[in-house]
Amino acid sequence: MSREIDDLQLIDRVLAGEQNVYAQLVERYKSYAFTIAFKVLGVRPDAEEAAQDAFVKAYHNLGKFNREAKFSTWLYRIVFNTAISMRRSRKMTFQDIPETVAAQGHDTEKTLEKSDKERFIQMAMARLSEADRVALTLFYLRELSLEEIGAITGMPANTAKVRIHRARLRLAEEMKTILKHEALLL
Amino acid sequence: MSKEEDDIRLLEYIDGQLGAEDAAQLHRRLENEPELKTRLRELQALNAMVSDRTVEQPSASFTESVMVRVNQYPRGAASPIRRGIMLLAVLLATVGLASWLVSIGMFDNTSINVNSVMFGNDTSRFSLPSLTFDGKILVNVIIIFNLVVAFFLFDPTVLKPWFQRRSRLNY
Repeated sequence: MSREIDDLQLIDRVLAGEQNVYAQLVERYKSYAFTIAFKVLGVRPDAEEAAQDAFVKAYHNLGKFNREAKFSTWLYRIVFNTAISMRRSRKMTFQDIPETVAAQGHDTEKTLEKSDKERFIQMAMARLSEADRVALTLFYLRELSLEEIGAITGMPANTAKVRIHRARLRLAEEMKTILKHEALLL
Repeated sequence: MSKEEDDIRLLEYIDGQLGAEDAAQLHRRLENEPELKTRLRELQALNAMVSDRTVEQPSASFTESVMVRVNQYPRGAASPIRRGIMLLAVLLATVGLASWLVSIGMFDNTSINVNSVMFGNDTSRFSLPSLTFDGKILVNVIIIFNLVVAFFLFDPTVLKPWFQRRSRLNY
């Protein structure tokens, strides 16, 4: 039995009044929902709040879910929009250092290398437009197809594909510039 | 073929999305064009660097927290925004109706004498100073009160959700 059919059965049970069955859907999708929120917000408590808000919104709008679509794509779109709204309401910028980088305080060479790598990626990402950054972030999760990224971000699939390709090329140029600059400083 | 078209083809090749024929054609070009080969290596390096398959895990109480909130507001219960919009509609309907009644002169010659309302015509035992309310003023006060409440409701129920939706659609 495919996961989509299984999702629909769970949704039907929730709609029929078995409220607690919704926990199974939450369990199934919480990791990616949280990851998407975390990629957009960069701060774990905020990401947790946004992902929870999204699950609650999805629950209240379950009756409007189009059964032809994938539940995960529909849910991730809600997560994405909730996280974006939260980021705007808190006036966060992409330059804000995410916990994943800031929390690395060990002096081992490996950690420093990883930290540097993430810092450079972060710097290069900060030079892109917000829409490009988000599209790239979702793309590099490697879990979602271009069509799904388009559906989540509200872009037609072809537009999403072109945007992502161009953003990857721009990111490559920015990375080259940053790495050249860093090499000169050494 | 422009540089950007070459780059996009290389990215498709890296992603494994190039058809067999196109891939074979690209292989031939890579053998003859060192610059293209260098560019492929650059893009491959970037791809490896940026690709992040790490799936983050939320807190252990995540599902429980969601279900607590879900159980607080069961499905079908009107959301605060929906309730606000309904209240706003009622307020505006009241204002509209009251304004219309005022405009047709419904309250022009109405006043309420407190003495007669409270004691009827039997004022022999109780006599209060004459206190009258002009009905038109009273209705205008009600209209203003409704408008003030509607003004404060308008932002959280209509403006804020509308701008949030608009900013999301810009993506």
